[in-house]
Amino acid sequence: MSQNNINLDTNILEIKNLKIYYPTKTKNLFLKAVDDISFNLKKGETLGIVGESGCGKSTLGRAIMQLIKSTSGEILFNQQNLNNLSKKELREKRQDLQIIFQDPLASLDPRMTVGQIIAEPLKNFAKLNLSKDDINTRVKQIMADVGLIPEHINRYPHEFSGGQCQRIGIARALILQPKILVCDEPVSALDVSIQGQIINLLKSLQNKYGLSLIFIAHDLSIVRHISDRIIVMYLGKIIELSEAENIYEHPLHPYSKALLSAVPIPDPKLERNKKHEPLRGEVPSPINPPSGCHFRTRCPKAFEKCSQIEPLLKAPDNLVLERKHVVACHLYTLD
Amino acid sequence: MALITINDLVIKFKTNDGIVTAVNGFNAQIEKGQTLGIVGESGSGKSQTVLAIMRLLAKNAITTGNIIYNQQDLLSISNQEIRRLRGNKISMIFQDPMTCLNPYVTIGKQLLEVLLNHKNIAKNDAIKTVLNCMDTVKIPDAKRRINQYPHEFSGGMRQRIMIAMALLCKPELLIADEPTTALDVTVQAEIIALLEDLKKYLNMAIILITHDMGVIASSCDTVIVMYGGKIMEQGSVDDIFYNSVHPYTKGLLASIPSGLQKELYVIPGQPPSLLNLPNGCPFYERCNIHIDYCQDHMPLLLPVNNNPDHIKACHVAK
Amino acid sequence: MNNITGRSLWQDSYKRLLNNKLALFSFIFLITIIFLIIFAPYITKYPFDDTDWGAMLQSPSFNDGHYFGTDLLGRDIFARTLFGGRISLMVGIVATLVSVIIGITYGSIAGFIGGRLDHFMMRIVDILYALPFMFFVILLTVFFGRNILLIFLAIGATNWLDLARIVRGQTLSLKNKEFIEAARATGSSSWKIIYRHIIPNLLGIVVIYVTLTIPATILAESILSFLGLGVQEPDTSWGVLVNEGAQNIQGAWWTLVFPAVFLSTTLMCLNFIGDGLRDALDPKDR
Repeated sequence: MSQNNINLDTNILEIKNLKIYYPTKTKNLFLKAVDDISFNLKKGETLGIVGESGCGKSTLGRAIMQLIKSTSGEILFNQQNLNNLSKKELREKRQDLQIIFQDPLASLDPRMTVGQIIAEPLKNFAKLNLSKDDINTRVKQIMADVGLIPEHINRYPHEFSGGQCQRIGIARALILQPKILVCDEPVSALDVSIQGQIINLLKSLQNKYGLSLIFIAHDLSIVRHISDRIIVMYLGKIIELSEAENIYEHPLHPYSKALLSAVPIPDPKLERNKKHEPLRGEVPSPINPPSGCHFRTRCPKAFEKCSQIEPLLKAPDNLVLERKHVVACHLYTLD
Repeated sequence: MALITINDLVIKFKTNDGIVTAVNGFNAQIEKGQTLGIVGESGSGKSQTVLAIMRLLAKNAITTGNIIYNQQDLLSISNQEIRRLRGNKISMIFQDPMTCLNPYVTIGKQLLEVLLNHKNIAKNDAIKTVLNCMDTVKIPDAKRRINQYPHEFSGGMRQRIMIAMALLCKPELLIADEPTTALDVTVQAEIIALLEDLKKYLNMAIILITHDMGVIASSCDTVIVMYGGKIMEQGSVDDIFYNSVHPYTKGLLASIPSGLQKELYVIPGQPPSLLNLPNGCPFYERCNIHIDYCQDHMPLLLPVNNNPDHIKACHVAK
Repeated sequence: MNNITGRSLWQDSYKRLLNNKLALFSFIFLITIIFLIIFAPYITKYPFDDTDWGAMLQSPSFNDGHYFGTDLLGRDIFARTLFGGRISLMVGIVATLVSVIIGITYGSIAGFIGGRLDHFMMRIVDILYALPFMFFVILLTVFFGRNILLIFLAIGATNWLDLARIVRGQTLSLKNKEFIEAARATGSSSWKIIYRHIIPNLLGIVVIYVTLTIPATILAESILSFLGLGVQEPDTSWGVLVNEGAQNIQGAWWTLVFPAVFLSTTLMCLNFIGDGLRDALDPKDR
């Protein structure tokens, strides 16, 4: 958890009614990768986004980074809508939003040295007016910050291990001192003993640079460890959002519950006594999701209303809760 | 009587950069009806060990030791004989089903191919067996889907197809190399439950390779922890989780995030280079309890607390 | 791991290439031929266009300096072979260079920008592909007469099509790689991405392609000259020499054999080097 820097009053990023639809061969049918979602990122916090394949979390991350175009909706960064910026204005904004990727080696150009890779962002902003020496110094400085040996500045990506490549990616993302860092499954491809190193590194860098993090992952235990709040996504929609511990201790949505119970616990006795309740069926196609609640076809608790009306993401009507907790499920709506 | 006994397996590779030692002395007994979990990180040698059982190592591999199955040494029988065993008595499933299935051939044809390779039965009977198998692994609507192509299935379904392919001939041993690493957590839970059911139904042995301690806890009976090509600790699943003594095993268990710690415990350093393995314990550099002796002297696997089923390779840990 | 300078992928490939004995040998051989050609005026006893009526169709002899014998007009075959090599290699290298520059630029832009521009640009390539090469050359010759520059133009103008297609294909697959996304995320413009990332990662394929097209262009020029559409007298090329030699084969084998050997050896060397490069640059070995 980031310490004390969360400014509860400031939202550094506001997503409003974001939709990302892809056209299909059929004229009026769209693949709804992200289907009308809204949420905020508070300054200094780490927001975890979890969900399984096809839920749209990676698409969402890339849309925030403007690497793919949104179909409609707003992404407000410091009150400016990123979706409406011109190419030039957008490029300016890139200093403030950066991303690290899942496959550490693939995100580095194999023909460039580490120094060139990390320096590229600096070279893109000529107005910074940096001399070659300045650039060199800055690169070496950030290499040290992320735990790399600065003398390795002339080596090539394939000469590094997976964990070190990810550190290079982090160095490149942070050299411009951005305000927001999107982490798209940054440790899934790494060995278990290295994952912890990278997570700890991200947390310490967050404190040092005052970053707001969006942490996208499918590994629930890691997300729980690093996030302040967590969003659970399913088929392009947010189905639950609350503080991290809350999602794990008191999940409300049946999908969240299924997700959490499916995680194998590293404790043989507990595992032996656990009842396994598999979800019915398969994830429906995002082209033609079920009417009403998208999850109803697999939900053990679905009832008639679920197929007719889409549940809104809001606080439960029938529960008194200590902490802010919203869920999109008819089990918690009264009427 | 163990189904398979592996004795002193050493696997080296001749490469342009020198000799790489992938497995440096592996011993194990695989029992019927039990799941053996092998856990380790990159370079631990876990994948190479099981590929050796199937004789699927690369051409530049140099293997010593023996793997006894049915009173034969799998490493020295002829190519023809090992081919008769593969997919038949000993089967394997891999991490990424998409790359293991031919995208241009229907799954029906691919499944039939395996069956007809080993069993001399009429095509109609073979098709019935295939459909049965698809039902057993819970692929819905088997009659229609048997004529579909791999890309028309989801990741979890493709893994079920692989499992079906591996089980068509009712093998005695199933080797699963990271079968759920690429799958979603809910699908993973189903696949693990499926493997459990099938193991009981066929009374087969399973070797499960994974890096996920949770998967180990939920499905394995015995566990081998590998590092740098050597076995670091071996025992029942309860021994490994509740009574582990080796610093690497303890490190792995401690690195599992539990949401309660402020900072994640990490094992410092990197996995070792297999070109330049040290003379002594491969874990020496990253170990927090090492002594000088460990650097040059390879620790032997010795029982913990006089329990012959729980062994560890460490000079320091008691 | 103590060296501070890294071991780039180019250096890895270079090392692998050096290990390929056939490619290495071909390379040395080729250099030797080029050497001979460059220093021709100092090695040959006779100028290439000097006719000697007293020594027509003379067989090769070491004594009088006609190492390869003489042709129908008494000209020294050795000198003419070396001089002809100049033209052939120049055409091969220059025409290929022209097609490389056009091809890379065209292909990478089409591939990277994509969409309608790509579609449009590639349809132009398709149309140009359909133009018969010979027809084009003959047309040029009809309008502008026989001129060595025309050969450059004709070959250069048609060869780039292949390379453009290959480059476009490579660009398409590179475009979706994560490091390109990363470059965009750090604020690189499309031009910068093409220049800094796409083209360096294409060079592997281009280098291989080049070593395989140079022989093709030399051969194309040879065929044109063979057909009488290329160089003008007294200039010569290997193609012309082979043509003339073929006519005199019955009595004077040396007029054909020496130029033909030079031509085919050069082509073989280039092919072996090309094969070697392909193996050395194979990404699977990384």
